[in-house]
Amino acid sequence: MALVEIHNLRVRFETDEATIYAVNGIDLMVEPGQSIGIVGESGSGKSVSVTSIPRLLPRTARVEGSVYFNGKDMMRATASELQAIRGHQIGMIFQNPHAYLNPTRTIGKQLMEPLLFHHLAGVKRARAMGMEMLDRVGIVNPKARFDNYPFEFSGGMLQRVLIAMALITGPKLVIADEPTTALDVTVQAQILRLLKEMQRELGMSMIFVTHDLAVASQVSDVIYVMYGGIVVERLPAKQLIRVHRHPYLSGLLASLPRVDEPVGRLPFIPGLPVNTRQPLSGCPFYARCQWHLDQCQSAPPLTLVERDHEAACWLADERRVANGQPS
Amino acid sequence: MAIAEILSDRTSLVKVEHMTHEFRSGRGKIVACDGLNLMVRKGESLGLVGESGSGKSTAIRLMQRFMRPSQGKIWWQGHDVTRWSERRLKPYRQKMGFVSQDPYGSLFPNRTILGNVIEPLIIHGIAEGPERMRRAEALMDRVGIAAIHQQVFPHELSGGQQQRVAIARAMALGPDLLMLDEAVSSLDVSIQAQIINLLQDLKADLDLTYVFVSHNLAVVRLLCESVAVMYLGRVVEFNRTEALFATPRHPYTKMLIQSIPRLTDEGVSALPEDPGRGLIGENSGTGCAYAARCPLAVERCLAEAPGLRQLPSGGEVACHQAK
Ligand SMILES: Nc1ncnc2c1ncn2[C@@H]1O[C@H](COP(=O)(O)OP(=O)(O)OP(=O)(O)O)[C@@H](O)[C@H]1O
Ligand SMILES: Nc1ncnc2c1ncn2[C@@H]1O[C@H](COP(=O)(O)OP(=O)(O)OP(=O)(O)O)[C@@H](O)[C@H]1O
Ligand code: SF4
Ligand SMILES: [Mg+2]
Ligand SMILES: [Mg+2]
Repeated sequence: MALVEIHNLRVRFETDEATIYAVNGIDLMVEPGQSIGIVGESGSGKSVSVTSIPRLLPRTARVEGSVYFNGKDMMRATASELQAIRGHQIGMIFQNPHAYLNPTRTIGKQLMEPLLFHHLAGVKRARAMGMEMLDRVGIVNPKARFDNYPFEFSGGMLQRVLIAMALITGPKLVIADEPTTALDVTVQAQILRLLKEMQRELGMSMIFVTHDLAVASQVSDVIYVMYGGIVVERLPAKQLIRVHRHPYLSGLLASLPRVDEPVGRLPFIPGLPVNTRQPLSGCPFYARCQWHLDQCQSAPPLTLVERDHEAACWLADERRVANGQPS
Repeated sequence: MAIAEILSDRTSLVKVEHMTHEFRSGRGKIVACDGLNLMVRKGESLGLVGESGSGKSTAIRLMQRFMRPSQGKIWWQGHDVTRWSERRLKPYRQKMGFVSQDPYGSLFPNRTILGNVIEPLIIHGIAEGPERMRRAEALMDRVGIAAIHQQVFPHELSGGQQQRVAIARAMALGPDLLMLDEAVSSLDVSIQAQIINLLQDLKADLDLTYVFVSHNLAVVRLLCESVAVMYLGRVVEFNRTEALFATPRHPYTKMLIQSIPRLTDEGVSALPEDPGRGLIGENSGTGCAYAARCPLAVERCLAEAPGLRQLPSGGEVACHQAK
């Protein structure tokens, strides 16, 4: 049985002025011990999709479709069932650490909270586990830092505290939304190794949201590429570079600055992001796509293009030929 | 940067000399910057990279004199401004813009985009009426904000558009120097590429110089002539950008460059292995701050903190063992 199973998830936000179509029907599956990377444009619905798993979306969200976690129908779970799952079986690391840490409580107190709240340890043991976790996320001198307040930490250090908090209960699933963007690459590598280690030790699954395609393919087994609130490509992480099909993913790969390329201007994807105030019609990439055909005004379904590899583009097959890749 | 060179300089845009900053808290003190010597000359953009928490943001805040250092001196265009009042600093501030990581937080949410860009012109009493308006419009044009967006509010723009507005605002007073703290980190890759291109153009067309703080070394490489690598409050290596990437000398810089995740046509680089605790595993407090993690550490590294020294091959490194 899969640990996470999402079917045809749709999320809208009803605001005073408009309806925002944030997620427009996605399927996602995470097996025990597996890690999934989600990449995609800003505003493409990555955060909204993953926040719907622990049911943490704001009240203004209208959610349709099904979400199962560990066999449990999350759409029907009661408030107390959800509370027992969040922060214990599902650890969460969010984009903005400032928003999730209380500025008036010490780092140590907040770190022990999940253990105390879920009755997983007494104060003394929680304190010891907290120190060990701070050490594992690379905070130098955890003893002295334990009683610091959030303002005494740099942005990257706070992010590491949040990671420590998410992992301290040994969850079945960790949802990490841009966890390493604020970190230098050596600390990033250390955190990614820690996450991989926890996966091995505990059989933990992971959903990793990031803008960094290289990081996504380092840590994941499967990559989901989102655009305009749908999944436009799903492929094995190790093959990201060689077999990608969707024009959006090609554009994204081209615009990555690389340390070993000549210095100069970077290619980018021209045009505007998708207008989320309108329901989706046709291919969401249509307006920006250099390959588009009339046919693309009707929505291309996510279809299997080869083993373990799906793409939602009418040209997915032709483009492979055009790229001169073996079939 | 060589202290002799810094001391004799009269023309740099900004320089700092033995700049140290301590934060005190209930449990003791944190030395965020520890005796920094840095200098930024016109046309020589400086990248600041290094471990998170190593004092990059503190350094850049001090350089702008948003705070006073605990020790050391800060110079703007040949003036020692360490103790200057805000009133005295004000005319010089026009020559210095700042762009932060969070574009939305740096804009006034209840003013239009145009209102945001024009505000610094009003505060500094630059131009008037239609002329002021023309300048603001020209700025927005320069950063690629369409006319239809000038009357909207910041929350109605995307992150990339907000960052363009923040850049236009920082450039309003015609600065020579822009300080950017993780200014492209929160952006989408494709939008990041557009902002980097914009920064490259501004640099070429307007003779702008940057102090650019970033964890993304590939971006630093595109925008800076030289790079200072920081570790726990100190500069551990300084060099011309190409040289630093081609032949990193300090063991921390080496690890930094090795740890960059790379995509090549063959695939992705493997996650770098755990370097472990190094040979010594514990810092002594008096020696090199990197000793605990350093694969090259010897007795001397625990006893004596290495200062920056010039290498015959060019560049400077603070390491007893580096060649
Ligand atoms: N609480 C909310 N109310 C209204 N709209 C929202 C809300 N949260 C998200 N949205 C909108 O839903 C869409 C998807 O947002 P989401 O945060 O999932 O994007 P994302 O892919 O995570 O982007 P990023 O890479 O910038 O984090 C966006 O258009 C966003 O503006
Ligand atoms: N207001 C403050 N009070 C106390 N300590 C602080 C304060 N601001 C920063 N520090 C400490 O100073 C050190 C340097 O912080 P700084 O924010 O300059 O690091 P940084 O290099 O910018 O890190 P990052 O890459 O994570 O942004 C850290 O140890 C931090 O905890
Ligand atoms: S379906 Fe058409 S418009 Fe969409 S990405 Fe493919 S070719 Fe481009
Ligand atoms: Mg997000
Ligand atoms: Mg910083």
